Amino acid sequence: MNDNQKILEIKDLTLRIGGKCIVKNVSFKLTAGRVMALVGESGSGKTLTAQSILKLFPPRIYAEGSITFKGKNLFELDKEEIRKIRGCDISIVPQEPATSMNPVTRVGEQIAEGIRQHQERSKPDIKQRVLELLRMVKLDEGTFSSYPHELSGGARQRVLLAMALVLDPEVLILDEATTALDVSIQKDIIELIMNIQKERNLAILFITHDFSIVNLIAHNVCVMRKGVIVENGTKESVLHNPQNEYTRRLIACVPKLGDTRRRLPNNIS
Amino acid sequence: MKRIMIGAAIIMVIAISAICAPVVAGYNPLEMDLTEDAILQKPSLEHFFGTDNLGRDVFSRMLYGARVSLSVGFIAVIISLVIGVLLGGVSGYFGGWVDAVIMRVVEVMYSFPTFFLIMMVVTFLGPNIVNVMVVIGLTSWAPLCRLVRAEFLTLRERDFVSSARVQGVSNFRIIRRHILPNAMAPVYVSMTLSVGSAILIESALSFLGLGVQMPAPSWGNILTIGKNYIDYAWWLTLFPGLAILITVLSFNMIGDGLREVLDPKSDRKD
Repeated sequence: MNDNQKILEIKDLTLRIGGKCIVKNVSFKLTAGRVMALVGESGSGKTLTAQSILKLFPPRIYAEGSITFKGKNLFELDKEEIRKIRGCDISIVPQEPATSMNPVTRVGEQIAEGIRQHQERSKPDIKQRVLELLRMVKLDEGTFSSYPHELSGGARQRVLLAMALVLDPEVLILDEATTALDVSIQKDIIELIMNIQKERNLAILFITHDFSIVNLIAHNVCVMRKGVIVENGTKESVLHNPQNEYTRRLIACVPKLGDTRRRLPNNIS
Repeated sequence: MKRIMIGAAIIMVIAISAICAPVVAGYNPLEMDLTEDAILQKPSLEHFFGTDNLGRDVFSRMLYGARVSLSVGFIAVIISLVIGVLLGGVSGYFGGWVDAVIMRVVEVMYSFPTFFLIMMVVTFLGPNIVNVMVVIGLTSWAPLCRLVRAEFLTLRERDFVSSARVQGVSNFRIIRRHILPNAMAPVYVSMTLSVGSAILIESALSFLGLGVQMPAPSWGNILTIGKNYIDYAWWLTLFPGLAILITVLSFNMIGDGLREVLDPKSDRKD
């Protein structure tokens, strides 16, 4: 696969609400088979940037710039056309596994929802596909008929991943998808995502504020602060040779194993 | 839970005996016997609830009357359910000017004295049981509409609805598959409570001569006869009155019980 084969390109994205600019001149591109990590503090505009790819930003936000997916400018599509891209070509895995599933619907039905909406397929065919996905995210086939409240946080996150992958999208956006989980389960999920990514040659946009995950999964890194990209480059260059002062401070904050001298200041109230 | 069971058991008994009325009744509810010792008989083993001024068996008439009351209750509520859920859902989900228009209509409905509106419409359309059902249904959807709208307003902001939207699920499908099933709990409660009030309205209309027309029996029009003889034929007033009371009470018990069982914030599970 040619690594320069870009699938999604964001160019000069600017988002305004009222007169206030919340995202300014953001540009980056995603390529098949590569993972782009979008890093930044809370409120830096990471999530809004991701949402604007599928035109999911809240009302009254005014967007400028262009987002090109395989030659089409997504900003120029109408509601119906963009709805057909959601889930089919570009999928988002949400942040909160606890609340992102319909509490009264069985897990299998929820995974099948995307197929039912976008494709005409027979019932056994759909079930086949859902079971295949459950196996892929390493869940028991019995999960098919469980309700979301019967699953653990990690299992729910796997289900959400399966929901996002059910229609074989080419771009996967993970919006802090592992933040709500504890570290050991986080690691499992990250490994799972990496395997699936390699297998399917997915383009991934991975939104996080955790540099240890960036180090594990990313090929390229964008650092955002207050709506502006302050640093953009390969993982190696950003992590080991950061040019921006803010990036340097962020990386310095990453706790390291065996760093015994690290202590919380006493004067924290 | 106990209350639901008691209420449901009473309704079941009434419903089954109403359905099997020809078997249970023992007398033709329309058959008159104008001989001196057949009219206005006290309750006895022969006539459980006595006879009325035309010598008809009150127990049999009440069984047939139960058919009227229950079917008016259910059908009126189904009509108001369809209208209320539809308008409330559209209003809550889409918001904007659609919401504004529907809510103004609801306010107009609220500001009318419903009972007089129903009386007026029935007078124009002619008093019969179908008109009564339809009119009660058409005038009682406003509270349900507000309830459904409120549920939709909170549910549409929930994460699982946005995650369905992210998957490209259409608005119609989001409403039908994700929001509606989660909004139904308070709707069930409100439905059971409205069955009771629909039965009350029907009885009142029949009592005033605007509902089921004599000689066809209904609880309301047995009471109408009863009021003329209330001095010495107490059974003509007591039994239909009790029947209405018990039926409405049972529906309210089911409704209250459901509310407590379905409300996650309540820990009373009696």
